[in-house]
Amino acid sequence: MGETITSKGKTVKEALNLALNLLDKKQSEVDIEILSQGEKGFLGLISKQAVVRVTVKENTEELFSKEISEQKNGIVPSTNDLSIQDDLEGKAWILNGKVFCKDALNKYPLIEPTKGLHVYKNGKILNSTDVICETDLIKIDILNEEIAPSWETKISDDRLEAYLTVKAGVKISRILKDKKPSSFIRLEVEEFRTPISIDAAAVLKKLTDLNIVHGIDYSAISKACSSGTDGTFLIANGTPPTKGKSGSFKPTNDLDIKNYVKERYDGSVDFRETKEFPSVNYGQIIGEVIPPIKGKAGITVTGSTIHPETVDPLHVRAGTGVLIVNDSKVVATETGHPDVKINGKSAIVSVVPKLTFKEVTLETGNVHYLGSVEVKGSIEDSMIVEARGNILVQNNTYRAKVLSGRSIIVQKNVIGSSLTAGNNSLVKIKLSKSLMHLSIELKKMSTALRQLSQVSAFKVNSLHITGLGPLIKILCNSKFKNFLPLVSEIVEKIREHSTLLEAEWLEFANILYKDFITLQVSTLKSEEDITKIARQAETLYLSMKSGNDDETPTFIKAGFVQNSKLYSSGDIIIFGHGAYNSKLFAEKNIIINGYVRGGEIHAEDSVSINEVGNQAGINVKISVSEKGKIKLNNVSENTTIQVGRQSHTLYTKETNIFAKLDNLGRLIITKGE
Amino acid sequence: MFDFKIKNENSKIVVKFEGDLDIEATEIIEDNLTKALQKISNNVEIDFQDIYFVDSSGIGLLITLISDLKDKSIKPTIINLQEDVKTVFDLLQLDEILGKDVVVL
Repeated sequence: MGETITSKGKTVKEALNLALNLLDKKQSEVDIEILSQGEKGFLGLISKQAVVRVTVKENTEELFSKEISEQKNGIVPSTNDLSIQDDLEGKAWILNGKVFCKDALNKYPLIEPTKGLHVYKNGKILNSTDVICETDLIKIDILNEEIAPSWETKISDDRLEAYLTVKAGVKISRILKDKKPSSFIRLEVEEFRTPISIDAAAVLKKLTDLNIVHGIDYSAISKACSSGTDGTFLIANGTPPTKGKSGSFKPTNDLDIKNYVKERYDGSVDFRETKEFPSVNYGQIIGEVIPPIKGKAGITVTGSTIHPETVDPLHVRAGTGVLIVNDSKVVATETGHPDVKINGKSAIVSVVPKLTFKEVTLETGNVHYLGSVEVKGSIEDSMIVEARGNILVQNNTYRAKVLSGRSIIVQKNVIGSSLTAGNNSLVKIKLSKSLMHLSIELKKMSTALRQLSQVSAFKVNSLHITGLGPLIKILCNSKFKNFLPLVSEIVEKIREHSTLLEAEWLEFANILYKDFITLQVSTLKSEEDITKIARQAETLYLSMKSGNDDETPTFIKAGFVQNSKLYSSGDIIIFGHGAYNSKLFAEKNIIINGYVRGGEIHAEDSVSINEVGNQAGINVKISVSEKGKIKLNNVSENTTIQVGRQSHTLYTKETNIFAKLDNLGRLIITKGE
Repeated sequence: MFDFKIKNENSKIVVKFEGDLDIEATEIIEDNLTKALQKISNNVEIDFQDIYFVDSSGIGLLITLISDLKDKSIKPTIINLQEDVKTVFDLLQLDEILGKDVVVL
């Protein structure tokens, strides 16, 4: 013990300062015991002085550690040693994981236990708040926890990925928090969590057991094993197969007629004025058959091979006027228009022959031709020109009827005429519904046959002798009453349009006629024969549907149109002065570089016209389907614009009209500069 | 081998079919049975009790027979159909052709 003095003052502070001055020490170098706080008397008169006893510390640290070593775990010590004298009576506190208290005469300090530790008072566990005193033996057991990690592996259904799903393990260690002296002490613990790693070797062994050998990501495994949080980790990645490329046909020159129009940035229209159809001379190479390129095989995580999707060669057949050299080069043997039809895995390349007329008059007679037709002059009054291929007229058509299975070009004027381009697609569209219906009925019929043949009372063998004829006759009178009328309708329609339709359509009509209309000579023997015809119907239906996208689009191009009717299954393009009092209908787009005066204009996709209406104010109706849009540069009054079912009539002159439906189906018309 | 027996009961004629009603029954039905039923005016009941097998030609013959009788204003009925034969009738929806009341269950 060092030097001790006792000093007095008006306040504790004054007494302490006096003592420190006398000892020449700082406050930190002494122990202070307050013997009296001092009391203020009436009107500031001092009635009792403050008294402190100050002792110089000899070796602060040694003293402190000594005190701790004396206090065995949780034994309540006496409290005389607290350096700063406070009113500790009846209070408890916690220092360095131990509980201390000081008794008082009039009260007991309380302690409340908490989770994560057990408190024993004199050997008995405390479950709720209790009092303690200096003589109690308090023991605290800190509970530490360990949650073991768990994991499982999973291989994806395509066996291209393996996953490790981890539930992280953790070690929780706790220490008791220090608490300042208080009459009520709520014990609190501080938790420290350290993750527990998964044994990566066990994971690797599991992978071996599961036969996972390919594409293992070791760093992902190690990351997953030491993860502090739950999660799923991709730990092996197979090699997927690469796609190959199916065979194709590559034309030598661009055979497609450059028909589409591009809109320039300034909004004007770029007309690609091809007024000729592409043609080939005999001996010319039309194109090349490109063989398929195989894809590369992939490997699953378990090391097995995944075969790439099979790629099919394009089976190119030579149509009329075409020779295939070395199974790859397609050569024209005639002069005409090249025609490439791709249908799934097969294609037919042919050269459509061309018939040339100086002009079509009463002397030449009407023209019906399976190929293309070129008229160097005009088609005169009330003549008919019908062709499966393209029709090119160098001059005019006067009150003529022009029907093309493909496209029509009239380089000058169309007067009082009717032009139909893509005529065969029009026929095919009409047939398509019936064909679909037929295919469904045939499938139903084959199901009925299958059911019947499964009934033991039904003698299937007889069918080999009689064929399906008698049975179909019965079915057509009962279950399939609508079948024969449907077949007749299809046969008639195909035969009616035999000049426009391809050979396979006519063949199909013949099969239907032979096997269903004349049942006595029907060659149908079994259910499979029926499904085969159903397939043929489907193929025709699909060829028509896909044909609309793949084939060269049909179009009508003309310089000027007056008092005429034009129908195109593709576009209509008027590149000259415009259209006067005519009806134009296109399944795709209509573009008119000049003006429209009177009449009706309808396109499914878009209409673009430079000038609409005139001074006389003849009504003009311009319409598109609900998905379409209308663009008009100059519009006079009395012009009706219709998009889908929404229409609007303009009563004043406008410029730069743009119309379409918005997302909610409302007609939006913008006008302006 | 197909055959039939005709029995006159009070107000009706019962025709009992025997064997397989198939293509081989053509002659017997078209010649013998049609002749035997030519001059009758009573209603006809066809008993299928002993028919276990049919084919499409046999059904065709039956359809012709029934419609011929109907043309003569004779009311034909078919009775005692075997379960399996009944299934064939149902699959072919024969009641559409024969008439709803012809097959008696």
